[in-house]
Amino acid sequence: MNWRKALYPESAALLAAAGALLGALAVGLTVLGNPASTGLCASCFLVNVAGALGLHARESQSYLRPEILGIVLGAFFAAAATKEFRARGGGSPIRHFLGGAFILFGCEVFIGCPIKALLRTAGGGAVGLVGLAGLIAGVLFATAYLRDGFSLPAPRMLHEGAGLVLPAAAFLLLALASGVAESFAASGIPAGARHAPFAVSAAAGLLFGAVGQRTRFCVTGGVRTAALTRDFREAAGPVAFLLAALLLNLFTGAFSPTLSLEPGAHTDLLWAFLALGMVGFGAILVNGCPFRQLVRASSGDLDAVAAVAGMVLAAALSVRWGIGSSPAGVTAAGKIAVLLGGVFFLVLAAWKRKGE
Amino acid sequence: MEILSGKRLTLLAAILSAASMAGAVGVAATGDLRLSSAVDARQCDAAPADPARIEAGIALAGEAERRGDVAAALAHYRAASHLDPRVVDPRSPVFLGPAFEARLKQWIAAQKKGGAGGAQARSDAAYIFRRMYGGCG
Repeated sequence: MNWRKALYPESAALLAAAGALLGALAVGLTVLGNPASTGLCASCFLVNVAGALGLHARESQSYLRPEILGIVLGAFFAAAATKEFRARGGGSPIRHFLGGAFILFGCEVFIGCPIKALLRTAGGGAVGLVGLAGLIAGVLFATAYLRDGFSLPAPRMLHEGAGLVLPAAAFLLLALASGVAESFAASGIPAGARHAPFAVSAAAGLLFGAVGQRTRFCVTGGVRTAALTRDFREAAGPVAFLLAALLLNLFTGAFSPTLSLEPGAHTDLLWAFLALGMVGFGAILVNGCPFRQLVRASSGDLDAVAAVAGMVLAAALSVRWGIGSSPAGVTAAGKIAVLLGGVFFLVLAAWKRKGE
Repeated sequence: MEILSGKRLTLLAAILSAASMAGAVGVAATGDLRLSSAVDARQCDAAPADPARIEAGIALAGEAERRGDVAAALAHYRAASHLDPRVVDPRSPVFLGPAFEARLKQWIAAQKKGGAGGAQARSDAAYIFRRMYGGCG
């Protein structure tokens, strides 16, 4: 085995193998207790973490997700081990913060991040598939602005210690959660959010983070690179993720093509499309979907840390203000959040172009 | 895509922004920010406002089931779950129970085969099923 190739994967085959591994892990976590189609969902997990930290009061969505803490630590260790950990930031923290917040709102209106859109599609959900189509449409629209010179200010290199804040916080929370989780997520409903066993989730999270960091796994990034350069290697990961999850769902009998019987979902196709369309458009402008922002933040990118902070705040507000959708449908507040998010990203896209 | 560049892209962004703003204002003006779905989202774990109404609704559903009127039973169960989503949450102490879960799956299977109930009954059963599993927690 060529370890250098494995540590610095560039071939489509290796990236696809890594994507398939992540897809299989995500389905495995669902089998072990995570909510349906939620083996890996950065936005849902951030809502759970926000609840566990007392930022909202919906106990059934409160759990200090070891997957999230594992992703941060796994990505940090992978970046540090391969000398890719570099503290940098100050390029556009406010835009990343607001962008992260609107992206999270969009995910909550759809009910899931782009990775969960893959998992919902792999489970047979028609709304998941429509959301995925919206995501791709949003990314393709954003590439028009990239071609036309859109870019955010480049970050500056900073003292290494500045990049350690998020990994250190994740380490502290993971240590606390492994010992005194009950005090974090005291719950009227016995188990709080549905979840797989703590140790399994933490180990899977570490793997998600490490593999995600080494392969730059990103659903929106894969589509963007394929559209801009006709280089499909980056897209091989998400495609393999989808196929692996689909095959495992078919094997376990969890695949069920449906519009109205998708667990935990609403049936509003238009708003699923628009919500993830806004997410796809915005994610390209701020360099990554929620999962990718977590990985970048753990590799020392303080602009991504700002995006993660925006997402955590938005996770709390989406519950408090009724922005997040439920099986009952999409709320008026959710529709307004998606539309305002669209306005924010459109203004950003039009404004930050060379010569404009 | 070359047609989408320069001032055309700026104009497109301006048009879409204006349309989105108009849409947001329209939703704020005409959409009820306190729609049942919004209230439902906020109250997911809150104690129900009127436990007696919920108990009465569940009792009516049970009666309809005993009469064999599955459509009416589903309508009552759905109404009860609107008042208190915890009645269809398997993690909750006030969950209707595994026996109800099994019956719901049987009804859905029968509906898929073109059996019991009309469109409203199918919608009610699907709503309860979606509510029972998954989501972000």
